[in-house]
Order: sequence, then structure tokens, then C-alpha cells
Amino acid sequence: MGVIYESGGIVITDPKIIEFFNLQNIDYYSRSEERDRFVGLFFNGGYSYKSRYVANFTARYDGSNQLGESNAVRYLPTWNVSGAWNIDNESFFENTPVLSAFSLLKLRGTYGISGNLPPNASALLNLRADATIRPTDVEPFLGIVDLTNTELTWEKLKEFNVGLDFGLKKLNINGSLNYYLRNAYDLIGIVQTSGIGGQSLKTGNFADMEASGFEVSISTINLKRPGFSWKTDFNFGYTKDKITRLDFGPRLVDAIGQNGAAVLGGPRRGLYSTKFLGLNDKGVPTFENGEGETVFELDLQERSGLATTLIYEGPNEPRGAGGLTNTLNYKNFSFSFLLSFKYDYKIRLNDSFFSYYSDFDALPGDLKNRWAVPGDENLTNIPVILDQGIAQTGSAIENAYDLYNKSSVRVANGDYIRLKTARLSYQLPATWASRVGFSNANISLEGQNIALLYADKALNGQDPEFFSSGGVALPQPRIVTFSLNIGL
Amino acid sequence: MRQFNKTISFTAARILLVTLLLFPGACNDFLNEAPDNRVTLDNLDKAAQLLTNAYSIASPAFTDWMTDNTAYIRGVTIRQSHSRAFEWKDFVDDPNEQDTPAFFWFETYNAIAHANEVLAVLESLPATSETDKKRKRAIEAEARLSRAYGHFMLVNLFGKHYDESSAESDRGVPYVETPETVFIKTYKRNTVKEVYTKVEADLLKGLELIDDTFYSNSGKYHFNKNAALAFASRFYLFKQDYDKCIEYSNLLLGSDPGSFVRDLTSTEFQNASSSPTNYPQLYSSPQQRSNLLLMRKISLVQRIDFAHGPTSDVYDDIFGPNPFGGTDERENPSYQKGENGAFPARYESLFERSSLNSNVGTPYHIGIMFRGEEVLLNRAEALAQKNRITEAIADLQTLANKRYSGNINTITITSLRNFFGVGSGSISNRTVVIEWAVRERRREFLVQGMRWFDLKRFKVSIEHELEDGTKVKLESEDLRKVLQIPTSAIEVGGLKPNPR
Repeated sequence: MGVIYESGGIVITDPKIIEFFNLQNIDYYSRSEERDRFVGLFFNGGYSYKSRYVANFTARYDGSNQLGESNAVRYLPTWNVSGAWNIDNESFFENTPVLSAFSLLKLRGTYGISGNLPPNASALLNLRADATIRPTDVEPFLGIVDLTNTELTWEKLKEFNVGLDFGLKKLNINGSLNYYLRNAYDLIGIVQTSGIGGQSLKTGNFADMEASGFEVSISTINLKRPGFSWKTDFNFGYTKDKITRLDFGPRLVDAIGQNGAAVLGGPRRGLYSTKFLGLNDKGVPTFENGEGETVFELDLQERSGLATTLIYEGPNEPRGAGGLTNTLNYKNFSFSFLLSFKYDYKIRLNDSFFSYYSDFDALPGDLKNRWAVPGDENLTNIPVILDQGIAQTGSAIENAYDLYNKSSVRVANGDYIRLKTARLSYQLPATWASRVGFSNANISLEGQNIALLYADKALNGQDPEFFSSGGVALPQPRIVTFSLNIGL
Repeated sequence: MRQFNKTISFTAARILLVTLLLFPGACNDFLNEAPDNRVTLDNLDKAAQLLTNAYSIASPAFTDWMTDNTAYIRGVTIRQSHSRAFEWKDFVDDPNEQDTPAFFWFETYNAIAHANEVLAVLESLPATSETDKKRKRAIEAEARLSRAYGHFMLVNLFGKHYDESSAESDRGVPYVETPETVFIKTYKRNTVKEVYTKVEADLLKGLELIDDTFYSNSGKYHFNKNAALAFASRFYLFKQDYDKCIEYSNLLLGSDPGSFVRDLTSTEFQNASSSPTNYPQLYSSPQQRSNLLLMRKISLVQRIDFAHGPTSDVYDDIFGPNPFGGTDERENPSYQKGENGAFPARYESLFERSSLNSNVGTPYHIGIMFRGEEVLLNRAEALAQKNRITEAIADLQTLANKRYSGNINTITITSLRNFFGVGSGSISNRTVVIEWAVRERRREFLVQGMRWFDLKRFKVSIEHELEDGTKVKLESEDLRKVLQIPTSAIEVGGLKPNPR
């Protein structure tokens, strides 16, 4: 039974395994079906006058079956208007001295509403079938997955966008400026309910959010001489978001999570920390609760105490991001490099400290500096390794370790500058190439993820771009490529 | 040219308008396709299957950790919720933590929602044949009974014990009778009196309509006629309506009350007593006539490696001298728990693995939620309350005959008074009989979550000794005897918390 290695690795299955599965309530196999139906009606019109004024209009009417058999919420009408003014095509353009410095000048604007179909939300009662888990009297049953939610609707977004594209003749500068204002409403999230209706976690519309930001991109040719040129591309964006309506705030336990939480008036994903007060005289972390008392544990199920119990650290998502590329060409040599950066956000360090460590845990190096003897509390913030007699006796001290992982000392700035790529190439002179029978040849050396030029020291060498990205994912590898391209 | 353009745009607008108008109608059929294999509640079979889930997976047995049945145990894993229960601190656990008030609240209301979904559509479900019409009534009965039972357990955990003089103002729990159809609904707490009135209405309607013939298998995992009678017996005992308690207990027990008592002195139980699996299997088997309602409960109470519990000192206290003179067969079999615990074999510890090779999963047991012995003890207590002393003693004797082995005495009120050492004193016969009935309840329901309600009913104070020897006490009318409702129920549901 099993794999018969000596007979070519054939597999023979013991029929008793099915009996075993049944006894353990494990499905021998399972089957599921998903059906996605979508209809859309689309109306589109455009108008252009002398290539100076351009207007576009789009209207959509979408319908989906994903919300269940409910006529009330399955359809969503959306629309969008946009216009552009090609100033450089105006008759007065050439004659106005200020404007004549421009090779390109275009003003654009868009306003519209779009919708997003909520995933995993159901407007109608959703029942699933299964079989009971019991030693005897096994029978099929139905269970409630989602209760009816007559108020469910699409997530909607109103967006206003204005932009300017320009080019300056003499300075060899091309660029564009963009500003946007987004008003997202009826956003969908998961709420821990009162439970009285029978569903403890419900998905529904309960938040509105405003976001505004700008993007700038500029490319310049700094130098252009025979045999030498230097080009620069720069782009930069900054965005700020704010929750403007939130019917139910997060529980403390949600707010201190790795990914942050939405709180009214704060960003979409704000990072919150417990108020760490240092170690006590036994090396156990202590905290300040909402009443200003020194404690080991907090009621993480409550919502109302968030403002007094926790500290707001900042947004969990970068607000600003951009990149800078320089390209230098000298004769047959070409050299380019890209710097990328992100800033204005906080990240929570991975949970490293526990009330109990087993042989399966990889211990953090920080434990070298842990509290060991009384008095150490004045020197270190790394908590003591608990005695097993305390660690598993249900004392409040166990909580202190969870809260410590979620405290301010376990937060780092996410800001970074990275040398993302650099590339050096050499185009072999055609005469050399033809001598060995090639029409052209090129050799290059390229590196990716070469160096992290700046990152917060608190990260201890961890990659700020590689946080909360799952247990088995690999960080971005450093890659060096040497290549030879030949054309026959 | 201009005229032509206008005509074109006019026609285009009309086409657009007509399309827009027709569009939703034409597409509805297309979009009616269900996105997955969800089930529509459109026939009696499905209604009955939905009720299979109308029984809470949360057990009230965790309340035993708050009673005098529990002392500090060393050498076992104590979860935070266990030590909070032991020290009567308000629970702050995640609602997914089993054996907590929040878990009981969420899971019980979940069970109630299943009953309400059925009751909301039951009348519209097709039933043409006489059998189907009868079945529809049986389904209604099961839905009402399970809904009533859920609320009854909730009000007794999260409200004061029923007291006629204050029940109209004591905070109970919301009694939910319709499915929730909006995203977030706010509720208000019904008073204890209102909850009891609604429980009674559902219970009586259920008793009238219940029909066991539609259950396949043993029918013990559903509210059957006998379970409903046992529920009525407990309900009226708790409501202090002793005549009704006796009436419904009589309907169950009939002329041979002993047939609803499992015989622990029998060779069947004796032979099983050396096996840690056979004994509990026998004890909670659907084949036992005394087991009236069984439910699957997700819990750690049956595990001997978790939580505080009875110790040998507690055992000495519970299984001290008795007026019958025999050996109480409930004392054994029991197991060593941790360093100093003694744990009675009642429920088999079962485990649902999350997958084949997994060591994690869900610990559960099959709990006996109603049983013949309880009804017999309810009746004995109610009879004593009505000063029907001889009949009450007869019920206690019936139970004792299947609990105490060896040559046992037939007790009388005189021998019981002498046992308590109150001879011809001023203490009433009624008090003496009730005292013994309550002691029998403690022996009978050890680690099964009944003691807490008895201590609440009789306003008994409780003392626990912590590991370092300090003592904590729960006063006889301590506010903490009314468990706090979950934080989310206060902050999202808009309910008033219990006073602290």
C-alpha cells in the first residue's frame, strides 16, 4: 500500500483511508462552482473643434450577478466627461510672446463617477450545505453564510482630475502636472457586529473617504553635444487620504494590527500603537491604559477608548513616491541608473517577542540585550523570557507580550531611497563587428536592486518594501546580468 | 444639412432611451444565475436542514469554572479566559475564543438566526399533502423551541435570575423574532420578564405542535417531545411556577420515572468504567433513554490538559457523606488532571482536525442539554417547594437507587433530618429536602455547567483560592453573577451594559 518504489513508484490506495477521512470529518474531495455574469451598456460620444477643443462623454450601465438575485443593487449607472484645450493650436498662440516659448501646451480635465463591485458581499440570504460533525446521527444541514443585506450597494468613486502637458522649446524640457480629487463613498468593509442578528462579522457599506494628490513628471535633456548627451527623467507624486465617514470604528485589536486600520479623520490605513511605559522591575513590559493606569493588559475588544488608549503613528501606506532616471551617452557607451524612493509612512516590525518560545521559534537577535537581572529595566526595552510556570497559567502578563509587539518601540519609518537599476552598455563599432561577421554587437552589464541607500535603522536591515507580504514570499533579489547581443 | 443632423441625433437619442429602458428587464433573467452553489430556502426539506444548525455550538459548561466545583489546578494550560472565569473578572476575549460569554452570545444568536430564517418563510413553503402540512407544523415547533431555548440560556447568563418582584425592570437580552435584513441593526434589551414571557409563548406553541415522527436517526439532536417537556420543566422551575414544573415533569416521567434515569450501578456502566472513551460514550449516547437532547459543543471543558477544575478537596466536599449509605457511582471513574486535579469522566473529548496532517483543529464534545435525571430533580425540588415532602423524597430515592451501590437505605424525612443533624429543630422539612436535592444536582451535573445557575438561583456566595493562597470571593448577590454582555453588543448594537 502507498507508493511502491520497487515497482516503478506506482500508487496503491488503501480503501480504509476513506473510512478514516469520514471519521475525521475530512472531505475526501470537494466540488465548487462559481458563475460570473456581467452585462454592460456603453455609450460614448466625442467632439472636436478645430483640434483646439476636445470633449468626450461616456455613460455606462453595468449589471452583475455577484450580489445575488436582487434587482435593487445589481445595476449601476456611471458616467464620465472629459475635455481638453490644445492651447498650442490657438491662432493667438504664435503671436503671444510668453506662449511662444512653448512647443506644447495642453490643459485637460476629467470628472466622473465609477463603481466597484464589492467582493465577498451578498445582498441576499446566502445558505451553504454541509454534513454535521458528530460521532453518530450524521445528517446534512444548511448554515447561514450571509444574512440578507437590503442596504448593500456598489462602492462608488467621484473623481475630478485636471492636468497640464507642456514642452519648452529652448530648455528641452517636457513635462506634465496632474492634480486629482477623489471622493469615494459607500466603501465596503467588515464590521464586528453586536452578534444579535446572528452574524458576528458582516460585510457592508459604511465608510466614505476623500483623497487628493498630485503627480509631476519632467524629462529634460540637460546636455546635448556631438558624441555626448545627458537626459534626466523625474517623476514624483504625493497623495493624502482621509476617512470622512465611518459608521463603526475599529476595535483596538483591529487598530493595532500590522496593516493599520481606518479611523474617522485619519487615513485609510492608519497605524496605531499601544502606550509602552518601559519594563517593570521583573522585566515585563507595562502599558498605560485609557485611565492613565499602568497595566499589563487592555480590553482589545472595545472601540470607544481608541483615542485615549492608543498612539497614532502615521499612515501605513506611503504618501509620497517617485523616481529619478539619468541616462548618459558618450560615443558608444551608454550609462543609466534609476533611483526610486517612497516616504511619509510607518511600518510595524514583525511580532518577535512572545510569552512563550518553543523549539519551532526562530528567536530574534534582539534577545541578546534582554532584561536579565533587576536594574536592567533602566538599560533595555527588550522584555525578559518568562518562566514556563508563569507563561502558561493564564496570567495577564501574557498579554503584555502581545501589546509590546504592537507598541511604539516596534514601529519604524518606511522612508527609503533605493538604487533600483543601473546599466552600462557598449555598442561595438560596426567595423569591429563586421570583421567577425556580425552586423552589430552590444555588450552590457545591468544590476537590479543594487543598494538600499537610505532606510530607517530600526528596521535592522530588513527591506522596507518587503513587509506584510506573506510568510513564504521572497524579498526582491539582487540581480546582476551580463549580456552580449549580436546581430547577424 | 442642419435639419438632417438634428433628425439623426433625435433618432439616436430615442434608440438610446428605448435601450436603456429595456435593458434591465432583458438582463434580469441573465443575471439571476446564482454566483455560486448557494442554496435557496424554498422547500420543507431545506427548512428542516436549516434547523439542524439552530442549536448553539457554545456550551454553558464554562460556568463551572466560576463555581465551587472548581479550584486552582497546577500543571495544566490555563488560558486567559480560564483565569478570568476563575477570578470572576469581566471577559475581554475575542468572540472566537471558546468557553467565554462572548462566544456563547455570538454562537447562540447565530443559532437563533437559523430558526428565525425558517419561521420567516415557513408559511410560504409549498405543502400540499396532509403529511407535508403536518411536517410544516413540526418544523415550526422545532424552530420555536430552539429559539426559545437559545434566549432562555442567554437571559440566564446575561440577566439576573428570574425574580417576580423585579423581573419587569431587570435587564434581559434582546428577544429576536425576525431575521436581520439590514447591514447593522440596533437592538434593545428586553426585560427579564419580557424574555420569559416570549420564551413561554414559543415553548408552549412548540409543545403543542412538536412531532417526533419526522426525525431520522435517533432524533436526539433535535428538539423532540421529551426534550421539550424537560425544557418546560426547567423553565417553570426557574420561573418559580412550581405547579407547572410538576405538571410538565409528570408528562415526561409518567408512571415509571426510573426509566428516565441511567443506571450507573449497572454492569454496563461498571464494565465501561475502566475505559476513558467507552464510559463517556455510553454516558452521552443517544441510545440512553435518559438523554433527551444532545448538542455538539465546541469547548475545552472535557479536556484534562486545560483549565482549572475539581480537585480532590473539591471531590471530598461534593461526594461527602450521603443519607443512603452506599457508594456514589458518580465519583468514579475520574482522572488525574494536572498535578492536583480530579476530573470526572462524562464527555468524550473529540477533535475535528482542520486537515489530514494537521495537529490543529476544533476541540468538541457531545453535550447533554436535557436529561431525565434533571427533570426528576426539578420535580423533587418543586414538590418540596409545594410542601409535598413524601413525593419529593420518593423522587430523590428513585434517583439514588441508580446512583448508590451496595445496600442502600430507603430514606424518610426523619432520616434525612437526622442526616443533616437538624432532628426536630425548627428548620422546615421543605428546606431539608431542597438542600439534598441541590446537593444531588451538584453531584449529577459536575463539570456540565448547571451549578452556576443553581448558585445564582439560591444566592450562594463562592470563594476561590488563588495560587499564592489569597482568597477571592463572589458575594451572594454579587453584580458579577450577571455576566457582562460583549463589548460589540454595547458599542455597535447599542445595548446598555450590565451594572458593575
